[in-house]
Amino acid sequence: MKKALWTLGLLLLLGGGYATAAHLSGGAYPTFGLPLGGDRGLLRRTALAFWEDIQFKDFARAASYHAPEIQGSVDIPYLLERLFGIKPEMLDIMEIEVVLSDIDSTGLRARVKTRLKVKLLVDASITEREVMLYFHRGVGEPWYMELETSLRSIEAENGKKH
Amino acid sequence: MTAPAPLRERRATGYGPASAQRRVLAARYRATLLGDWPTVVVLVAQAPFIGWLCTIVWGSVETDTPSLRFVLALAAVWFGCVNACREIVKERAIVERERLLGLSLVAYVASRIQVLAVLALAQVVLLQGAVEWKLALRGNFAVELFALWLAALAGTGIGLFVSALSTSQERAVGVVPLLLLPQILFSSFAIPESQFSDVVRAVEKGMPVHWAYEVFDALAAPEVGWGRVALALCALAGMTTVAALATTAALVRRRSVV
Repeated sequence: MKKALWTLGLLLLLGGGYATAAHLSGGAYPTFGLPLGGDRGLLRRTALAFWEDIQFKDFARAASYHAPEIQGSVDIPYLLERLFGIKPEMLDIMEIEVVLSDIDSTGLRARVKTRLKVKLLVDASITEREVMLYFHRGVGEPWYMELETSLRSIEAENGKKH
Repeated sequence: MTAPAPLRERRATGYGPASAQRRVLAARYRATLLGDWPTVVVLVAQAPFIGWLCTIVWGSVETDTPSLRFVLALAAVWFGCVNACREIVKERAIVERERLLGLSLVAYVASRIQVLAVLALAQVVLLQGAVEWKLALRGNFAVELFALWLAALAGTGIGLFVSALSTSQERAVGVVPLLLLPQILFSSFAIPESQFSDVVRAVEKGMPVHWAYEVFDALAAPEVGWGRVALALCALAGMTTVAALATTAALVRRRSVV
């Protein structure tokens, strides 16, 4: 009985220690669906959800992480083509990983560095890209992805093809 | 309560089967180790400290690099060596005395590895956990952790072997750098692998750090080389086994101790 209590206490201590570490690290460790990590954890989950939407070609939902007034102008397929130099339908996102999640001193701007392992279906080559996603928010407002990122929708220069 | 058997009778029957001896010896060793808890705290705490130092250095590039993976592999072998290098020599007199009563050397060495394996596991979990706090390492976390643990076990085996050969704790500790520096020298971090001579290439294959790094390298590649991972893990397990057998063999020759 005493041994069982000790084991239970040790397991609780280890579990509590892990959950605390997962929270304080901003969700750097797997949280198993628990809402741990505060704002940094939320940003990690948002970035993962964004890339997962793109992985499954749900571009409308991928655009929904941006501020409501600019959601209509976000051309995700074009941005992907710029980033990877290939049509989205020829792109297979295999793995998504968040490298870091960082919030500035004001608590209103954030950046999330993501690492993607992608397969270019044209030649079946596998490559890796690191993409930084930027977020902002007003006081008391939710986080919105900013377009001032590598995924910004920019018109190609005149006379050039993307 | 039964009275203990007379010495002559116990000599004849021995301490019992090796597995039973290992359990008793491991329990005793664990109690001894935990009795000296400040040392255990220092040994365990060095792992997250080194991990934290890594996050400071590699935090400036905000990503992992091959050199970070090499440092992690080296640190794991280092932990194992340092944990184990004094653990036999400090109680050699007790070992020699208990051998007169039928102590199994295999059980003795196995009990050391059993307890030190738990210590090494705590260290590598904290080391990799501290690094993952700020830097997401490429590759599968669990497999990398397992590789680090096997590397630490190989280091433990080497440390025990040194301890079995040494005549004093100071000498054992003094030999550890001689075992660890070649891990760096015979690696592609000293000179490019393309410039290795056949000798250097062969010696490198005998280095646990090389195989632990091989796991990280294979897992970090765009196309994971699971064959390389399996081979490297087997090599680390093999090195641990060989080092444990060598330790047992080194203990066979009786030593007169005070």
